[in-house]
Amino acid sequence: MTGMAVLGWIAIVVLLPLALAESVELAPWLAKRVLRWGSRRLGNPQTAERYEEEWLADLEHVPGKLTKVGWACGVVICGVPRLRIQARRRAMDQTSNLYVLGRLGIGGRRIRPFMEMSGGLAELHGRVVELASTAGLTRAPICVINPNSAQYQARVRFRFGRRRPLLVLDAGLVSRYRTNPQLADISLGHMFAHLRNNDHVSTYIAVVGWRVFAVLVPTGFLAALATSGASALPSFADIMTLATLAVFTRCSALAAFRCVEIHADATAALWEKPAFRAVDLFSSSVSASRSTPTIHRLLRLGKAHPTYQRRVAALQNPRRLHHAEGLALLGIVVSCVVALAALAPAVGIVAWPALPLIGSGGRLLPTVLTTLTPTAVLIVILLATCHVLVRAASGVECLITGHSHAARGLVLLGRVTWLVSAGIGILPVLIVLSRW
Amino acid sequence: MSRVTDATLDVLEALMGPDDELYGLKIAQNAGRKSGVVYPILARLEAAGWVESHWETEERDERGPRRRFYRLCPDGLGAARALLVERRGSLRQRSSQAPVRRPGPIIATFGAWWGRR
Repeated sequence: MTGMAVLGWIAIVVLLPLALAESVELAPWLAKRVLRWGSRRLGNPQTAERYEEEWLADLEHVPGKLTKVGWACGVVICGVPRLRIQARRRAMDQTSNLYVLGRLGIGGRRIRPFMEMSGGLAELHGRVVELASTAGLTRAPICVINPNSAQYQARVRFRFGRRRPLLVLDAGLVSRYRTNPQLADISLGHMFAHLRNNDHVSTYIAVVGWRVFAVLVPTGFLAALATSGASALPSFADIMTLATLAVFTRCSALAAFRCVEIHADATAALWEKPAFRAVDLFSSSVSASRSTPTIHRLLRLGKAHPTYQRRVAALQNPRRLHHAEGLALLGIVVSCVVALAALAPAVGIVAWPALPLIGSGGRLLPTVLTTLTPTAVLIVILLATCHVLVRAASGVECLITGHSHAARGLVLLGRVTWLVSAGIGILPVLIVLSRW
Repeated sequence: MSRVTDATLDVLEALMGPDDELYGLKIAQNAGRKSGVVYPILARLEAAGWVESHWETEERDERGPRRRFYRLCPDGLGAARALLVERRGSLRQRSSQAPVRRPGPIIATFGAWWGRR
């Protein structure tokens, strides 16, 4: 019998049972250590102390010894992260969520907690939390008051990497809340509808897409012109293509924004909450109960509007706003396709050159881009035409923003349009990459 | 309650059982769920005001960690009953003993095949 065999024999007969016995004896101690470590991960000392004692007491009722370790690991792996998330949310809800914008704005982090401000805004703070709860938001947004703006607007600002968006309230809106809370409630309800519809994310992407387009395309165009001189001047058709593309991208983005606005109004109206019913503003009962000059002025303005009756009728039966006029929409789309197909050869759309910068220096994606760009332009033109026609056909107006709009079908159309627009906005990035 | 999952419903059913001294491990056993899932649910229910908890008060022979007992509040009991009827159609009374685990699909299929032989 060799030495290695003896050592193996000793390991199997002596050391392995010894290790197993020790591990079994150590298991309860290890389970307690795991639970203590997990409870400390909860952060709050009181919570940690509570769960440590509770878990250790429950651990005594877990049968076996090795199973205690498994049970403790299960509690720590599955339970602790969820408890941490709950604690974090609870802490965020308990902290102040109303801030005042400082001189340097949001980017400069010059926002001061609302609780440090004078107590006149405490009512607004409570109202924001209450309305957010009524609107079904799990957490109230972080509110920022912009003291430099005397307008009556509220904006939802998406912050990249942050889960809670900012609700920026103009100082005018805050003062309006003091004189006429119902008007401010409607604005807040409209903004909460934006949050419920996740409009702030889509709006952010659309804005970014447009800005990329608006910055990179002219810059690249001018750079190519400066480096190559007059010989690189694009043809008139190329310039017209670029201009058309810019106009339609911008128009479709604006149309998408307007779709989002009317969708938010419709959503707020569907909540059936009196605070959010914009139509109540124009009803006689409300104006009688709140006989303030602002209400009367708004009432006169509203009734003087040419489409006042249609707006009130649409908002009194808000489900109509969600009724897509499918046949009309289909007819318009089909007629646009037929018209474009008929007119395309006549105006030379089929032979449209690509963007000026694409065909000249592209190395990686020139063929794809030259194929995609005219196609995307055609799609945007088609969708934007649909927007105009559907809006003209059904014109329901947004009471908050005053923009003219239509039904939910148009909202969906708007989202598709800005998706295509954002895709076109990304094209210049691909162009730059291909040139590199 | 903003989010009601199947596990939450199981925990609520377990809390509606006849046993008065229900602690986390026992609730998990009665609900047939993992303890790591049950404790956060209990915390959520407690934060929502459906469940109240208290420490074990009886004198124990040896000084050790105390158990924490959970029970449904009167308001939470009514709300839980309504929620269970709404989601599951009826109330299933759970016993205080640990439920018999149903076999998995493979074992059940094998059992059915073995029974037919």
